[in-house]
Amino acid sequence: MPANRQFKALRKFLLSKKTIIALIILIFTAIITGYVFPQRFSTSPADLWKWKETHPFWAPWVRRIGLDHVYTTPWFAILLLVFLLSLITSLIEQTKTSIRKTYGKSIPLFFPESFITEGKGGSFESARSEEVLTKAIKKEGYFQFAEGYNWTRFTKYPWGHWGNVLLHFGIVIAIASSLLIVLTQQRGVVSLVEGESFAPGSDWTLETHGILAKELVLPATLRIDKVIPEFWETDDLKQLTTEFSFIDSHSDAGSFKISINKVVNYKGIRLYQKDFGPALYVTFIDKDGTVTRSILLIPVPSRRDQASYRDFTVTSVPFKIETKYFADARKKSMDSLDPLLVLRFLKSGRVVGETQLRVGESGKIGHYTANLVSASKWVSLIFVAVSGMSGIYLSFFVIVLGGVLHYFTPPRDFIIIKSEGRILVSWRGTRFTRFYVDEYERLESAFKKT
Amino acid sequence: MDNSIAIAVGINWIAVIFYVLATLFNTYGLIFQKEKAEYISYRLVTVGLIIHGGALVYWWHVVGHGPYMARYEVLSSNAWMVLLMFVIFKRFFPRIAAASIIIFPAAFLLVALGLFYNPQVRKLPPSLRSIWLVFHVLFYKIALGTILIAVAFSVFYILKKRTRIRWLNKLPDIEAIDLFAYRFAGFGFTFWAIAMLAGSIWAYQSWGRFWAWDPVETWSLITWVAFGIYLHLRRFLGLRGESAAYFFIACFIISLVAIFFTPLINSSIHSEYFR
Repeated sequence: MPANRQFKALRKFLLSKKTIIALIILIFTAIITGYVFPQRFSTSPADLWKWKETHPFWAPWVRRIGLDHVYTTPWFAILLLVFLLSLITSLIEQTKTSIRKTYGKSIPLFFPESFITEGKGGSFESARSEEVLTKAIKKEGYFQFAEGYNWTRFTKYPWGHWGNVLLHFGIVIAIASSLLIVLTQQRGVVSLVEGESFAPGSDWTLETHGILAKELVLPATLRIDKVIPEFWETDDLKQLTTEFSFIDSHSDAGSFKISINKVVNYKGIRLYQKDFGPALYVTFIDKDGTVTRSILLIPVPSRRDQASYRDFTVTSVPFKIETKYFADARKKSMDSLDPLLVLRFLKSGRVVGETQLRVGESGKIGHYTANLVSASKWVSLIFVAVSGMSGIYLSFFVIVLGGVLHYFTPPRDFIIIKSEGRILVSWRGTRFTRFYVDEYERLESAFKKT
Repeated sequence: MDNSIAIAVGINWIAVIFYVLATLFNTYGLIFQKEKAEYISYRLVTVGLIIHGGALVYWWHVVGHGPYMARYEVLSSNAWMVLLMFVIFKRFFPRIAAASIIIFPAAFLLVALGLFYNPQVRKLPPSLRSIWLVFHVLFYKIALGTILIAVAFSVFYILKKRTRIRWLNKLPDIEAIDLFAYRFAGFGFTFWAIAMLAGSIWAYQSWGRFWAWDPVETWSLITWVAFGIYLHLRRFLGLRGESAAYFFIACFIISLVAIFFTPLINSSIHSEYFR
């Protein structure tokens, strides 16, 4: 098949209604799939593993076609790419149409009277000369745009012809940028305690990367220096600041401070804070005197008089550990130095023991002695490396412009035709003409030969 | 603080009274073709809008942030924006005036619903301090206003086609009604897109991801695609009249789910701010 015919066939395929409907259905199906199956970027590996164990039928499919990371699979990228190509092809056609509508000479010159009742336009004979009409219509905001051997066309809001093109162009930019981000993004999430370090290549708590990118590796070791939450008097979070350092093999690569909406960009990687909370250093001593040390990362409670909860399993402690945490043992503050921890051991759903601890206190729980040694804070950090966000910003402005031009400035044509010594006028709206009948009637009453 | 809540609630209820009176006059005026009653209803709504606007500004001053945190302030400001959009568009398209029979009651019901959610002062978390959030919220509210006008005309189309109700004669002819629904759906589609994009830019600034397939984002995208399908079916496949009206009402129901119900899903980041 010659290249030209192949190109035409491809164009026909991309513009076909069947193709577009099929693409929409497939993308919808993918979105619903991403909704039904737990996704890697929002589910911890442990929960994902548990899900696969409880759904043995789906587990092989999850592995084979990536149902646990739908939006970063090759097949979803291909779907988006075909959709994008279809939109670009349509955009090319729309651009041609807009050029024709703005500058073209092949539009009909006369419209029957019935057009106006049908909401399309109308024609009448004018008593004014061409010069007078030209001057008057320019005053009405019409611009001269095209000319034939016996006619001149003036258009009001000619830029309105380009609204639809811009609207779709903005959507193309948004989808293309999204595709670029999906294919090349690198993203990792890790929870760290004050003083803890995270070396390049260490395991992330959550990780996702595009099919054209590798797993994100930090350029230097990161150490959390301090986590500083601030609260409003209503106990809502006022600000969260994390002080941290990047340390390379030779020297301290610098200290940084991030707060929400004030991110740090380090060698192309943007850092954000996700969650934070108390990190409680607890020891469990069994009856033989064996000591197990653990750091419990607990979510921050929503109010000073409300508790937060999290369950843990600790190696060598043969119980499920339930925790309940109050920011202040006296329930008077969100950032007290005197928190209260309630520990509970469970075996097969049955409570084995329970104790309440303040910092420095010990308590008996089952045949263990638990000790709350100290408390500090943990923070969950997000590391992101993406390209393409500038496209999303650009698409915002292009869509705004396109929408405004398309819906707020529908163009109207006013055509002056010289025919056998008479001056005829044709007027038409290109969209929503019925709304501008008043304008036609006003022009008709001003210029029509009586 | 309790005093401030009482003042804000009081002013809101005064606005609701004006809206209810406006609805009564408006319905009476339209159904019995009493132009004076209709005229009074628009005046009452304008007064209500000013009072309601005062309540929103006062609440903004008290809580120190715009109306996008607690359910009360979100619903109340949605209602205000819907009415404001109607008043502005009515100035440019006087023939949409009859849509007031749906817009007015919808607005006062939204305010009343908001008031039943016990207004509380909620302080602004840091992630909500961004100009992109203001665009995000503002354009969704504008989109809701235009969508409500479009749905009003879709309902009018069906009523005019299927019934002989006399007051419907006050409306533009049936083709123009269809066209109004089409055009305002287009406004809604555009404003919805702008709101979504502003939201994704805000999300990137706050959490480093522009799109996370959060339930709210997903539903919002589904709604926007549904509006897009409606517009393209009209433009390219000749969808019009009654079938278009029913199709748009279905899109409207999807948009209600996206705006009012999905933020309540706990796994959504939006639920933090809409409880």
